[in-house]
Amino acid sequence: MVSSHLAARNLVRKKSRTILTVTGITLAIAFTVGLLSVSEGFLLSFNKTIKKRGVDAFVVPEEKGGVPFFMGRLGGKGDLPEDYAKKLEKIKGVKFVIPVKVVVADLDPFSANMPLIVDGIPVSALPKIRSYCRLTQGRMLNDQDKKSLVLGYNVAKDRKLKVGDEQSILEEPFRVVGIFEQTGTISDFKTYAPLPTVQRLFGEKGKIDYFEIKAEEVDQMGVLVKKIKEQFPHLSVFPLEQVVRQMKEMLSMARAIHICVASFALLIGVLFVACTQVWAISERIKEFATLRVIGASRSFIFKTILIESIILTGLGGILGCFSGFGLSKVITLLLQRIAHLYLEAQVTPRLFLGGMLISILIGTLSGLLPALKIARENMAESLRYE
Amino acid sequence: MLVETVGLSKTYEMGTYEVKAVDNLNLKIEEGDFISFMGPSGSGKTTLLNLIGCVDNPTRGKIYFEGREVTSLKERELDALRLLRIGFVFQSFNLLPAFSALENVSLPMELAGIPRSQGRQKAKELLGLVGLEKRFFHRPYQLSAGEQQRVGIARALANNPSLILADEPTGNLDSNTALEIANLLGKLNKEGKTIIVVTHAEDISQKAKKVFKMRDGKII
Repeated sequence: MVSSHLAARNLVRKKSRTILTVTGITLAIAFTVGLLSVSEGFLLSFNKTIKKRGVDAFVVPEEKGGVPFFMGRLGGKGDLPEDYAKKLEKIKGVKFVIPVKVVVADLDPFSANMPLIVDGIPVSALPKIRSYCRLTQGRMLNDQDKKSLVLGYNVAKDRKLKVGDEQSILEEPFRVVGIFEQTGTISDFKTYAPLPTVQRLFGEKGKIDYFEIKAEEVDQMGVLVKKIKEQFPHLSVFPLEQVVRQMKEMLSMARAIHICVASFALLIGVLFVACTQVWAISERIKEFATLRVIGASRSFIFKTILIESIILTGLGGILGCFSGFGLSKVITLLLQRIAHLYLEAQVTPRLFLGGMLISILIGTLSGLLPALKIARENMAESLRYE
Repeated sequence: MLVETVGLSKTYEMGTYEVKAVDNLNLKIEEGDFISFMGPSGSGKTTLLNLIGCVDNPTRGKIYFEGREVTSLKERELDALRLLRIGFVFQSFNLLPAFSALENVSLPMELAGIPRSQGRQKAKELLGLVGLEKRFFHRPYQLSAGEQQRVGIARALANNPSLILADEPTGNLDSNTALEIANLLGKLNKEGKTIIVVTHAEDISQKAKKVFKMRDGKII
């Protein structure tokens, strides 16, 4: 109690030093949290997207087989014949097949809006494969719709669109008929349109990018993949599990890089606080010697210095986590607007807690050395220190 | 007998030769004594005070405090001894700059485990005793040198110790303030406190019941 009181008072007394140190820690933690929020957000969004997806496998052309499915899909040139769907559906074990055509429209780097990623799918399939998406406004697509759109939450928000508004794709007017609720998945960044319209618009009639397949029995996916490959040797089949595995590998690599860079920032943070603490403590050798002379134990001195250090870094940790949250929003904006990566960097409770624990660890590590040193000082000699 | 030293010595190694700061001192200090140690710089006064106050360890010899040999005590026991039985007054006051006068005085009581409210009440009484009842919440930098030393004395009295050790308590004060502090120490002695002072100042020595002159670590 006395230690905490004394530590807090000393921090208030040296305001400039306290503010500078807290700022340093805030920056280090904010950078770490902000950076890790990218892979965290990616992982969360991906998990949600995949887990909620109402399909069990994806079929793409063979030449894309070497790259992870997620990476390859946007590079599609509509080179898969749509009528493969009927043949695929006839294979024993296939419940249904959804052909998907993905196009990127309105890709203007100088535009304030995100580009439109349009998924062309058969209108009846939309509720099947996006069953987790609830409408916040309007309705789903139906057979009568030709030039209608259903928007993901972020698309509507970004373009300030509501049901009944008009949105152009390749200078053709489309009517917004529905807007999905926010799902935290990739669907928030998607626009859905009838497949034939998208094919006509991009001059790729009868062509699609990939098929989404629902199996009768998920346990039999291995057999089903084999059957599809036998019938379509020029196609690659990615069961959901394989996609998840590939993505997790990619994410773990990205996460490892993030952690390396963040560790470097944290190391600088530790050194920064340690230097400040050593400097601050050496100014107060006589003060601590006086405390020892009037009866304070070594452990009291040790505790006081450590608490001081932990208060400093803990404060920096809290501010850093909140700043990291702000930074994650900026990163999200930059990723979406500049890099056209549709993911949301997220500061999860796990990341927030991690940031706090790391800041306290920095405080402990950087306070430990000066605390040990000063607690071992000879009182009589330290009293003479000026 | 409050304090007794037997063959007390403290030697410092300075390169290849030794300096005897305190040399084979035998001393007896009774309860209620007011003793002044005088002597030139380097005569060993402060070293002796540090040894009696258990701030430093002797090279040879023994110290008895209230009949108990303290040189063999564990560090934790020495901390408790300094906290509860000995009060220290320093030349440069050595107040904690982050704390107010009241907090500085109540600190030793809090260290001794006395509840804060009780400690604060006693600290107010002690500050009143040294004439600082209107300076409770002032920080050291807001107090004059004389006032700071009064706070230092109040702090030394906090846990009602049996011995007050004062190292040049008037060394940083003007003559009028020094006289006030000397009178205050004299008053405390009359109230029953045992006081040992290390000083150059004659006025404080005049208040002492016994004056020892030191040179080269010995009482002459």
